[in-house]
Amino acid sequence: MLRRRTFNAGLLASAALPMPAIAQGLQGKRGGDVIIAQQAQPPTLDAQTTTAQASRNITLHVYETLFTRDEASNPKPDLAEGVDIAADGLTYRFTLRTGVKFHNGKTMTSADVKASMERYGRIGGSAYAMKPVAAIETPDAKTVVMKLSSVSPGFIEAISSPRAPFAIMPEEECAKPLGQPAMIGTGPFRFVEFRPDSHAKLARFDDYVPNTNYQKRDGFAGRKTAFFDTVTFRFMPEGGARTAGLQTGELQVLEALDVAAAKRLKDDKNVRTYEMMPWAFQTLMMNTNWGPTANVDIRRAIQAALDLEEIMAICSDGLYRMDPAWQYPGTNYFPGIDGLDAYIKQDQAKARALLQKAGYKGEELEVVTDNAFRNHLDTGTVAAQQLRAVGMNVKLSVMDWPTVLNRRTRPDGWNLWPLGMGIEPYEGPYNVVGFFSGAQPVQIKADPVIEEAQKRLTTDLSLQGRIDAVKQFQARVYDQAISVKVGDIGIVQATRANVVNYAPYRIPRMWDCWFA
Amino acid sequence: MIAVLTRRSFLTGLLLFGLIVVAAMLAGWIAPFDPVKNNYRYRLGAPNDIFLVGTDRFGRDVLSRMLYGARVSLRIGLAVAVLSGVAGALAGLAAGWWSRADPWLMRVMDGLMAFPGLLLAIALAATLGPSEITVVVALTVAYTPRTARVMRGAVLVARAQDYVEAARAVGARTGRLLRHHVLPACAAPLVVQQTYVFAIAILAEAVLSFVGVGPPPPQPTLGSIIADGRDAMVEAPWITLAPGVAIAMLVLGLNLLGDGLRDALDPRMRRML
Repeated sequence: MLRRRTFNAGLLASAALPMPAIAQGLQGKRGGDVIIAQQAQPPTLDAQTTTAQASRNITLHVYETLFTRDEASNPKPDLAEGVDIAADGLTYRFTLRTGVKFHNGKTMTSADVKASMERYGRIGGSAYAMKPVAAIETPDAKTVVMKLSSVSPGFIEAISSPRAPFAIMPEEECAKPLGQPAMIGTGPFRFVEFRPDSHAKLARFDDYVPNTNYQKRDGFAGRKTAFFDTVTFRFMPEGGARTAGLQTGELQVLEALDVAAAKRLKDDKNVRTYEMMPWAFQTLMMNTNWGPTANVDIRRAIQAALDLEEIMAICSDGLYRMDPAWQYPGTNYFPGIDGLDAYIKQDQAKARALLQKAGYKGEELEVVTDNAFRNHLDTGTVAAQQLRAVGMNVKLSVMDWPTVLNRRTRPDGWNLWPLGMGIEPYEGPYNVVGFFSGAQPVQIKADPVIEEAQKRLTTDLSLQGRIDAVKQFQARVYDQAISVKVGDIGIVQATRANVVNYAPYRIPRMWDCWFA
Repeated sequence: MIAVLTRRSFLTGLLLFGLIVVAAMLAGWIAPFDPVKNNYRYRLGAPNDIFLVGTDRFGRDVLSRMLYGARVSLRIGLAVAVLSGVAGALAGLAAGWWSRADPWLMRVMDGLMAFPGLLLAIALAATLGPSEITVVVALTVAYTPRTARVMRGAVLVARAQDYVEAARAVGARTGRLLRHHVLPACAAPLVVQQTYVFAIAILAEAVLSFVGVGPPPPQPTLGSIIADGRDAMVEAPWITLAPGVAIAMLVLGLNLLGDGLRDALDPRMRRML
């Protein structure tokens, strides 16, 4: 007989054992039209198909998913009550919340979930996550059973990621081609209009069925209550214009405010700023396949030559945290920082000695960076100077972002590549370790120990075993100097002072807050 | 001619331009700090008695960066003025003298001119990779047609002059005609045109550096200092303001110089004085 266990027993107890329902939700003032400014405009609003932040800012107000992420970015159920995972790790039985309504009035059933997940497997932005799924069965209207062909302990992590949300939409919309489905979800806001180059508008969904397993919002999960009548997302590329709009009251919420501007507005009574830490990893990727960085001693010399704090202070405009770990503290897979002190301290003498040991004779070190993201350009600029200081011959090539992305996939022609990793560390270990393994490892030359760690991470059914895999990965990255983790970058979100109960998060959530 | 050169506008131009040229040339001696030395403890510092024009996001001294940056801007401006002068003069000379080459050459120049110069420069810089040389090549290509057109006009006028006809009648060969009779007559408009190209090239370099296709960091140019300070324009206005004023002074100075030269070299103006 199949022995059943709850999903990640203990760690995610609340997932399968709902908290007692609280009859009364959040008390706030209903009404008002809130305008939120974001830098980019969404390439599409077909939520499943795009990994663009500009899209998920909007679509995550309209759509919900079976599982999503909580405040600490760990998986939590949303449209599901919970999941039972068979002991062999191959059968996932999701129990759906009952009575959840779509924006078209229809009640959500297992057929909608099946159709949505199957559509995701075909055209989803992270469709690889659905690869292990061999069949989806719907024994009744509130049960969805996914049969996997191979164990995939990261399955819940993957389908709960908001990167390209595993949005649940009505079955009939799933049959429509890419980009065509009407924007009908189960979220607290319903779609009103999308004007390219201008704005997207949502309105409160009055028949929204909140998740009474929670008492309040929790990341993208929790009990969500919409108070605003409408939410308008304005697309404004120029940072100065967004800041000015907030100051004049034209805009009520900003997805991001320049750190320097945030310092200036600290004393402005009409504005509230919210620091969010961490937002992204700042890294310096290395090509272990070509040129000087193919030599491990030169890579170690690079790590030793860098003053990480100077890079962070400049590239983040002062909003940073020194954090050597390759997962965020407080998350399920945090590998700890034991033994990392020796690596992260700048030691120019050690760097010179390592260069000498490696027989370095002034070979050119090519740093490729883009000028689209200031943290990239600044990291490249400062690192290049620090490496020159220990006698390295550094060439800094500044290119546009698409060119850099293309260049860094080439096996040669680059040595160092500064990269801010935003959504990957938020998602957990899979796309971080995955970045360094598989068919196209970022360091170009596959590393056997990292491959092994990734294999363990994707097959070991015990959480401790998977955490050990992340530790193994981290230890290897430092020992072989495969990449430099510079630090964590934060961002500042901002609202007008009359927006009450706002809390910063991965995207600005327009539920559970209201106008005073 | 002397009268023109002592006019107030010409002297103002000479003073503005000369001041910056001298300052840039002496950058190695008078710059108070290393222009690429970071010091994040002094980030975005307001002007004070140590950092006379404040510091930027990297904690670098803006004044030192401006001095070295002006050097790069002037170098690029001069190179573009000379190179596009030579190329434009040759093209214009050929087009103006040999009527058979004229339509072909000038249509090519028209084609280049119809294309927005700055866009051409950005496209070239994107293909060749950002560097000082790329900027010079891109701007030279962009500004050669104007010079060629001015030159062609001057050659057409000169070749119809009686003394050129006379020289030809006594059997002078083409090389001698061009060198001794046509080119000297075209020198004035060419020189004046190139002072404007010099000024435009400095502005264009600033724009190219501003959009990020100029010389790579940390090397300063007047344009890249402004681009660097753009995000902190309200919090640290000195980063954008000071190099902005320097560019304005430089371009104004060059234009006043050009005006003065034109007046001095124009024979009609000479008669009027």
